[in-house]
Amino acid sequence: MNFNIVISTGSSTPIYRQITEQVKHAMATGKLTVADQLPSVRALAESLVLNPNTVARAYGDLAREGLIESRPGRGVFIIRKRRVFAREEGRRRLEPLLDALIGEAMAMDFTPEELKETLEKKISQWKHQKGAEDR
Amino acid sequence: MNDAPVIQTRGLTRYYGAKAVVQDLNLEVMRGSVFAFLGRNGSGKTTAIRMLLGLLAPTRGGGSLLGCDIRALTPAVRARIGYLTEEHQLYGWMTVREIGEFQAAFYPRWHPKIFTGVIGHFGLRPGLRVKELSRGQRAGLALALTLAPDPELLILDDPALGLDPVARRSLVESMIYLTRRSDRTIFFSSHNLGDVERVADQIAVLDYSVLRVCCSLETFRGSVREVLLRFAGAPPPLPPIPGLLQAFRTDHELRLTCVHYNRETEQALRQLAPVSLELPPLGLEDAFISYLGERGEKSFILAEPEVES
Amino acid sequence: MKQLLYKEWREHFKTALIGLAIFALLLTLQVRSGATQLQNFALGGDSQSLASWVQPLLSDALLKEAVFFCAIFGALLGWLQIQAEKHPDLRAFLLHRPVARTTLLWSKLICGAGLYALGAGVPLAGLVIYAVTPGHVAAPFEWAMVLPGLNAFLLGLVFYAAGLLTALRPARWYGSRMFGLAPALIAWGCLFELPEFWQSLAVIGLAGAILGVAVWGGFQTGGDYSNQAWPGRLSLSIVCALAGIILCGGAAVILAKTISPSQPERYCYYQLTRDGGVYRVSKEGLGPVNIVDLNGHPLLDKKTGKTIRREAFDKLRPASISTWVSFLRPWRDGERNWNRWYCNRLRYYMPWQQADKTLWYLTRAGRLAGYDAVTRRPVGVLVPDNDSGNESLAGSRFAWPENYSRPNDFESYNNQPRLLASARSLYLVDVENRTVKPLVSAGQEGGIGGYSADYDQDEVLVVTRDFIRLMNLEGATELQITNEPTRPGGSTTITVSRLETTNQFAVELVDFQRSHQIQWVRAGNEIQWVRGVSDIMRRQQLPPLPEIQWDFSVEQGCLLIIPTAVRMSLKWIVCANFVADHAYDKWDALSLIPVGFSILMGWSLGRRLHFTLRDQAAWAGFNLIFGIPGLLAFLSVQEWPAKAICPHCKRLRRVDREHCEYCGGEFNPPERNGTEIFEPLPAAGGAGTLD
Repeated sequence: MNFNIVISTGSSTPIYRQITEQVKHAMATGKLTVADQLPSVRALAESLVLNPNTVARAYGDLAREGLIESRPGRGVFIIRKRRVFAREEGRRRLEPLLDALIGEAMAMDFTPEELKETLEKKISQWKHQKGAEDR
Repeated sequence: MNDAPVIQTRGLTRYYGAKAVVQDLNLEVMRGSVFAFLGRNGSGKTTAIRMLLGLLAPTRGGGSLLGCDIRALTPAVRARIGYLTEEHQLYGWMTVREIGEFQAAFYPRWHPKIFTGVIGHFGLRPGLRVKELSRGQRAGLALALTLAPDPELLILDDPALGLDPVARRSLVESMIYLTRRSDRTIFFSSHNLGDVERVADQIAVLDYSVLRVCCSLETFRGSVREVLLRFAGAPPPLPPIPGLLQAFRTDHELRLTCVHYNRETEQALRQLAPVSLELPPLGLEDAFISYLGERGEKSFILAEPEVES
Repeated sequence: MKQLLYKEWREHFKTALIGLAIFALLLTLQVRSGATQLQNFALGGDSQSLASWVQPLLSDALLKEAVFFCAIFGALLGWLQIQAEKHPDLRAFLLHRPVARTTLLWSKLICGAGLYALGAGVPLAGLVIYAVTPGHVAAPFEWAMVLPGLNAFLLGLVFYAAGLLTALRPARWYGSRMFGLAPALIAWGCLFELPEFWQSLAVIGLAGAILGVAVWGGFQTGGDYSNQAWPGRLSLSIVCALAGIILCGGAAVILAKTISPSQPERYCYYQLTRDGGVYRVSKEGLGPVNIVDLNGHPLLDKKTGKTIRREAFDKLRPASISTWVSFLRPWRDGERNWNRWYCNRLRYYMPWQQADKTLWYLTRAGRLAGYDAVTRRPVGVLVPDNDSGNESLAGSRFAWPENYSRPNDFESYNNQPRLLASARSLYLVDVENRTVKPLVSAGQEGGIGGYSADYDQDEVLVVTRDFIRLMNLEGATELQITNEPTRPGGSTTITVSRLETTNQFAVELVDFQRSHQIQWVRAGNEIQWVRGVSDIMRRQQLPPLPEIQWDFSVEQGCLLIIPTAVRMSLKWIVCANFVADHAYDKWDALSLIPVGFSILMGWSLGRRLHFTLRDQAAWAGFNLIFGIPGLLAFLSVQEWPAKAICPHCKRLRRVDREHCEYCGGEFNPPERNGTEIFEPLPAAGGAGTLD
């Protein structure tokens, strides 16, 4: 498993939320897929130097959202791929990235029509790829 | 018996002369928790810990440790409690091996492997004299001496004071290691909020001799909120807000920190007619600093604070 | 426990070794001084006060140094044992050991005593071995001579306890912290003033016990007073009260010395003149010396015609010889003689004479023992012959001469025969030729009451139960009259004076009696006028002299600060017949006033501290015994807790009591300011549901 959780103290995000977010992000980017095993609560707590209760809470939240499952005697496993973000959350995250893209295009003197053309090309590529995966 | 608190105090009070250093402390620490005891320097934490361990007589009140009255701790109970002091003071003339043997003679449950393991981790040779050790090495030695008897209750008084980051990390790792057993409890005081955030379940905050916070870490974090009000012109004067900690005023902004932010608070603030009202996220360290800092309104560190509530 | 002992021992081992080295050095220097003196004498040189150096175990200088060293070393050791762990974290490390605190204290005490024995005991033991081994000390030895040194050693242990207490007390150095030394200092003062070893041992034991309990109590609470058990509190208060007595007594003495008027000379006595006249000489205050005859007429100087002056009168004295006579042997209790104190050399032997490189001593067993100054070994013994064939023990030992008053010197520069008496006979002892020649035999036990000799004039005065005899060293009698021994409990001074008229003598008998003022006073004065050898012409009883009353009211006034109980106990200990001799006086009654004052002050201070009735009664009893010093102790040990306003009855109350003294209410929890965050804690934690 080439997946590393990095937490930082002093951040405005609580630590357990950092863990859940990083797991979800890994699932979204493909670093974690179904049937991958996560370290046990104890092992993760000791490797990240955290209170096991914090890790337990993170795992509890992930389990409640249906993303992971604990199988007794064997460990903790990812159980389904998930739509990473709820729609609203997704839009919120996407907008600043789109703003950045538009700003960059303006700086390079692209016209809106040229940008739209490039985007449509990329989207059809994505549809093609997604169709292949679903099969 | 497992649901009795391992540490319990009732109205624990201590006066030095006419000044109260600890006032009516009522605390309960449950078995299995990692309990952080926070407060500014001189707020009475070390005094409270010394009273808990029966090293200092309370002026009033009392408490119990593992069910035993703190005024009369028996040797059997002391053998189950590990105590790490702030300065890690040990007998300078002893060598590492000698002090290990000294400690081992007192405890029935001594684990030599733990001792040698921690010693080795900090790079201590058995033949070194204690007075030749650096502060971090001494801390490691003191830690080894405290952990090897496998104590049920570990009381640490600012153990990371003056330690380099590697030694500090080793200390926190040892604390996590202790939580392997669910009946082991850790009670520690610290100024390092990063470590507290990593390792603590519950916190208590002593605000100049008075206990004002005793809850889980998440509850504390959730209770302290920062509110940012932007105004078109100069910010208006603040009405009295219950739970206000600090207010910081600049040309167009009013930044508040308060506890128990609720609808009434929001309504009271909206009456000031701000352009925008935001609740930016607040880290634990900033929350803690707001909580324990000087109350009231100020412009900058060197300006005079005006207390309004 | 073993680890604790090991740790305590190792911690202060170096200190003990340093002490050992210093003490050994001190003792060696002292012994070498004596040895040098002895060598000096052996080579034919001078020997000033050789007697004080020759037996190192009883040498004044050595004992003084030993006592100083033991006291300082003991106190230092005790102080270090506690002070080394004064750092709160180190103290916490020690006190958090899972052993009872008393065990910790015992480990300290055992090791402390052991280290002290190492540092102070080993050099002393070495000294004893040196003295015991023949060939080192040219003086008699008996095991009882070890007692003064042993006493010094034991005193150091009391100082050790004092050092512990001083380090334990959380008081200021210039304040009451040094009070712990008081019992040790008192023991030191008593040490060499008490006659018997067991008595000073009792004092040491008592002082040590008081300090020991105070140390135990203090150790249990880390120096805190109010949390100690009552024995600890009581003994700490006693220690402070003893310190108070020292301070108050010292202040009183200084004050008395400063303000008391100097006492003028006063005396009054009878004096004979060569022509047989009896005159009374007296001086009162700053007036002149009055010399009057028995009818009250002043004596006139024949040359000047005016009243005679003292210097001229003294020239009219006849040649006389006198002796102190006492038939009390052995000394009863209550008859104290400094020479018999256990730490005084004269208890064990008396330096007698030197004769060609041999030192002769009169030992306690009543023998004359000679020691060679070069080889320092015993060379001979002289005993009185068994004069009547009777092998009784009393007949075969010399008795100690009462007149002897030179403990430091041999009778030097003169090897002539000297007189010594046994119980029955008077002998002439020649140490050079080693002969003992009987001179006078009294016939029965305890017969010789006193004797005196003027060797230059070849005159001997000897008094037995039967007669008073003046003779010369060959045995020819000049005067002999019968003697009626005085009433028991007294002594007599008998003076035989040679009058102008040949063959006429005046024998003056002055009886002395012990009075309640613990001094000897004259009880009777008689002169027997004798002509020829035994013809008593006339007996004359002289009228009794007025007793000189000294006025000590200023000193007594200053000493009123010493409480009644202490005064009475001291008098009871010192006087043989406390009640019968009326040893108490009006000053003891007056000293009740400061005692009463201290009780009242203690009571009112106790009310301010809201003492319980039991505490008040206990302190009242304490102040009754200790008076003003007791009040001082109260102020030193008492902690004054802060006071706060009771939330219920609004009166000032102590903060260290759960319930208010006035209304019984409790303290309220601290006020909330709206920023509290409390939540009930969850049940026992764990590693969560996922593992």
